[in-house]
Amino acid sequence: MELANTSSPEGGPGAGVLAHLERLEAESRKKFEEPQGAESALGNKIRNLRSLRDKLRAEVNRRQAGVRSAKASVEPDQTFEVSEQEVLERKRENVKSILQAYRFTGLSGKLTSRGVCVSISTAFEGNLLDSYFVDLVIQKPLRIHHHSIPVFIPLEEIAAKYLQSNIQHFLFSLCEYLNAYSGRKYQADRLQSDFAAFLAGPLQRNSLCNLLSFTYKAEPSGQSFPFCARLLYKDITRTLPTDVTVTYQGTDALSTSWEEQRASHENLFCTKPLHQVFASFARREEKLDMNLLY
Amino acid sequence: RKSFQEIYQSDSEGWKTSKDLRSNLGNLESELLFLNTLTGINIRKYSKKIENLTSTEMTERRIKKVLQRHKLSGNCHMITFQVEFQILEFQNKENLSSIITDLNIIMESTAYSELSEFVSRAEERRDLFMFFRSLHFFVEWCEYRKRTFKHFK
Repeated sequence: MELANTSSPEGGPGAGVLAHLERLEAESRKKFEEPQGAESALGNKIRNLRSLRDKLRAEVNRRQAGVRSAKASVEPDQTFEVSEQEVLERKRENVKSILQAYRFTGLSGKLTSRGVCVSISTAFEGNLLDSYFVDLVIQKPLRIHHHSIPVFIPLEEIAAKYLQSNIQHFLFSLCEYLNAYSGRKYQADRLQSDFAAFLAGPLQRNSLCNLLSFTYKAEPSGQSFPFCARLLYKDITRTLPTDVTVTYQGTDALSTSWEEQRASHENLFCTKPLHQVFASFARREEKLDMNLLY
Repeated sequence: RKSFQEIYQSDSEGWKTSKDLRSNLGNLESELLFLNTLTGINIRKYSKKIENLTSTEMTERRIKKVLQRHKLSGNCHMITFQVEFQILEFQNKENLSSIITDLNIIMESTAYSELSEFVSRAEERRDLFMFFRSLHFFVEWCEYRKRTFKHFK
C-alpha cells in the first residue's frame, strides 16, 4: 500500500491515509446535508470508509507497538552478551597484570602440571639483577625437578633444612643467598668495568664472589703506593666482607700518613660496597685535580 | 591446513568463548591465590605507564632509554600499602640495566611504629624486595605475638 505522507511529518506510515480518510469524512458529512436521494448510497460509502479507517488505525497502532517492543527486547540482550564477555576479558587482563606484578615482591611463580615453578628475583641497591627459578614437584616428599641455581649456592643444604617442613622458609632462605651473591657479583663487576684505571693488575675472584684479591692505587695519577687488598665474605648471606686486609707490598716501612691511609681503606672496604669505595677515591682525585688548577 | 576460523581463534584471544574465558580466569585466579599464600602479600591493584626517553641521537648510537612508572596496592593481613616506583631501563650495545630510581611507600596503619622504620630505610635504599620481605616477616611476628599472648590469657 503506497502511502504518500509528505504533508504530515510527524505521522507514521498510516498518517497520510488517515488524513485523507478524515477529509473524505468531512466531505461526506457535507454531502449528508444534501438531498435524500443519494443518502443511502453515500451512507454506505461513509460506513465503509469509517470501518476502513478504523482498521488502518488499528494496524498502525499494532505496528508501532510491535516496533517498540522489538527495540526493547533486542537491545538489552545484545549489550548483556557483549558486556559479559567484555567483563570477563577485563577481569582476565587485570589478573594477568597482577600476576606479573608479583615479581616486584622478589618472589613469583607459575602453577605447572607437576606443581609449581617459583622465580626468585635479585637486586642490589635498587639495581635489578638476575632471576633464578626452582621447579618443584608437589609430591610426598616434595622434590626439586630442576632449577637454575648456581652450583656454588648450597641448595641441597637449604633444601635438607626446610624444603619438607616449610616451603616458604626454604624459598626465603634461598632468596637471601641469591640476593647476597648477586650483590657481591655486582660490586666486583662494577669495580672491573668502571674503575679499571685504579687497578694495578687483574681482579682475582672466585665464582661465589666471596673472596676477592686485587692491587690498587687510590690515586692512579699520583705517586701513591699500590696497596694489596684481600676481601673475604665469610657470611655468604651478606654483601659486605667479614675480613679485610690491606697491605703494602714494599720493602720500606710506611710513613705514618700512609699507614693511616692503609688503615682507613681497610675500614672503608668493611663498611661500604666495593665500587662505592672506589667511587669515593675517584671523587677525591677530582677534588685534588681541581685544587691543582686553582 | 587450518581453516580461517581456526587460525583466527588461535591467534586472537578475543575470540575465546565465555566458557573458555571463565576456565582460564579460574586458573589465573588459583595462581594468584597461590602467590598470595607463598609471599604473604595480597596485591589488589596494579598499573604501569611506560615512557620512552630515547632521543634520535641515542637511537643512532644504539642506545635505548625507557622510564617505567609502576603503581601497586594491596595488603599483608591487616596492613594495607600503596607502592609507587620508577624503573629506568638503559640499554646499550654491551648490556641492559634496570634501576629503581624512585620508591614511595604509603602505609595506612600508624599503629605500628616499628614499620615506619624499615619503610623509610627501604625507601632510602630503593630496596623494593626488602620492603616486601620485611613486611611479611613483621606481620608473621605480630601474629605469633598475638597467639602467644592469647595462650596466656
